[in-house]
Amino acid sequence: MPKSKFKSYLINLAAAACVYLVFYLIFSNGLVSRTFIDLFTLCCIFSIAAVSLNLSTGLLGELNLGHAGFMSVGAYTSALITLSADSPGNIPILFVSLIAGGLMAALSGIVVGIPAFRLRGDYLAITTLAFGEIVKVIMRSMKITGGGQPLTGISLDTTYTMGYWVLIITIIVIYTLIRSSHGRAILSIREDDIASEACGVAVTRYKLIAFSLSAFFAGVAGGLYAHYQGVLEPSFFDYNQSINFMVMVVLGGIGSLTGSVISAFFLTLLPELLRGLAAYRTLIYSAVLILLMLYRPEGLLGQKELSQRVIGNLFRRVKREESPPSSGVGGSSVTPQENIPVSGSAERKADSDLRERTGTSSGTPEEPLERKWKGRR
Amino acid sequence: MALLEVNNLTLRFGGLIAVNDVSFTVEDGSITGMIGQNGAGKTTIFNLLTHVYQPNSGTVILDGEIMKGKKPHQAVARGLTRTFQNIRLFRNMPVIDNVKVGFIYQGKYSVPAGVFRLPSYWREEKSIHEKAMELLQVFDLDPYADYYAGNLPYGQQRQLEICRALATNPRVLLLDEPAAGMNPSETEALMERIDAVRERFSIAILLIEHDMKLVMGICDKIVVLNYGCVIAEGIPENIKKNKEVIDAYLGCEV
Repeated sequence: MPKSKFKSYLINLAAAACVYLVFYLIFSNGLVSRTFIDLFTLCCIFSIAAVSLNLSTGLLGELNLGHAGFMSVGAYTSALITLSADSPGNIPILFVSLIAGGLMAALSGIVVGIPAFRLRGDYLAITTLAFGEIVKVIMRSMKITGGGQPLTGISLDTTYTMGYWVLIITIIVIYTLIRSSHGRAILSIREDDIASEACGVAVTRYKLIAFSLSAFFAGVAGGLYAHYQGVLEPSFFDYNQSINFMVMVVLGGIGSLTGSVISAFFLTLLPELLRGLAAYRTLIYSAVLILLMLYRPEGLLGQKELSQRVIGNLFRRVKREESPPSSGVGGSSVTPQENIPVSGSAERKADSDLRERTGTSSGTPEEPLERKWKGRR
Repeated sequence: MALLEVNNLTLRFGGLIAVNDVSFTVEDGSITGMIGQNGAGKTTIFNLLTHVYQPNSGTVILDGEIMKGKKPHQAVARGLTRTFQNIRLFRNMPVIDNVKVGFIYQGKYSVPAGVFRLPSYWREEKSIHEKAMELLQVFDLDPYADYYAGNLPYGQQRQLEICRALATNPRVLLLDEPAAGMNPSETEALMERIDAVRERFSIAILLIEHDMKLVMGICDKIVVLNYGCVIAEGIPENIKKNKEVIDAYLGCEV
């Protein structure tokens, strides 16, 4: 392992631990109410679902409208295991049940995926949409899952610590997968599946890998949800919930894992924060969504990740702006460095887009290329 | 024996016979050109060679082995890689990653090894990176390794596509109109580069092209198609003089 990589892994892990420590101090000292702690847990669970949906939709590029269905499979599997074990508070059993729930969801993902991936285009969206509804009906009709009645008596074992660290593990696994040769294959399928196949990528196989991994984490999120809520109702995991996750992914930036986390927190907290406004709640919620899509159509973070490198760049930039008197008046020039996420509006991006297009068509390749954005590496 | 042998290949789309009893050979280390009018079936033959379509009859034999397969990636694994007439790059991926995708058959490590960053990941990634940079250097694309592929100028995008195809370590490289949309000087540079690639990687190249200067200039052999049939096959000098080819495609000027 190269030293620089090792260092950056350590820094990222330390950052995750620091964030956890902050929340731990806040929560354990009773600075916020119990409701808020529960809300944080829910945010983490939804983040896991959103990040895993991002793998199949944002990174693999297949529209998945039945993500809540996979969550449902995981939730019921996990709940039934802990119910039959009948040992509330037993963490190892809970973990086994979470993984079993994830595997069950992954299995159903493979079952849905094998026929659907033989087709091209939007068929997967329709298939997964149907899958979500079928799961709902099955959970309603089977005796073991309550048979029309909610499944009750699940021990409330999911803590915010667990939610947070499972979320971190999810992000790490998906991130490292994407930054490997298998991940490049997955991304290339999103970009152009025909070219990808022509490069020797076994497209169906990689689609199944990504899709089942996405379903696996949805199942884990479902298991966490079951032990967070204590009661499972099939109707919770319906079409609306799937769309809700999809909104989180689109809002956070399709292909950005950290973006999904931010928007999952935002969209879960927003309705709660607006609770006082009662009637206007849904109005503001939808207005915020529309405004965000208008002014940041690529999502909050676009395709970028909020990593230690990006934050480092941001600091360096702030420093640079502070020290010398700036040369340009009011940001009139577009430099590649300005394309760090968080800053930069859609218009500015469009402007630089235009410059690039005109730059490339002028026929002198060397000079205008200098102005082009650098890739992530 | 020829490296690539195409025997009596036929493909029908309903009543239309797109490729009709086509046979030709590609010798090892040679450049073979394929010319013909639009709709003559040139790209369809490429699609047949790379398993995008299944032929109704006929066989493709690569190095003595009959090419059987249902998926394009299986053709790549055997050593037949193609580029596309309309550029198909992974536009939102860095240039170097475009090339690295082509290395999927070499430098293998398992999915868990990639996720958990096991030693095989670091070893293979390092060698993939070095090999990808080496390939980019051949095409003078190494200064742009970190740029998004979609941001490269047109000519370089074309070169990157060839570069990516070479990453799959092909034995026969199929180029579908590599000079399309290029100006004469760019075409000339491309000609030289294709020739250099053939020598450096010691591979056979089969190319479709409408630019007669390029085709006549670098091809060792030319196959002429008309309405799905091979009407002539031979060295450029003979093709230029062939009456049937002049009537069907070249016109009287050449």
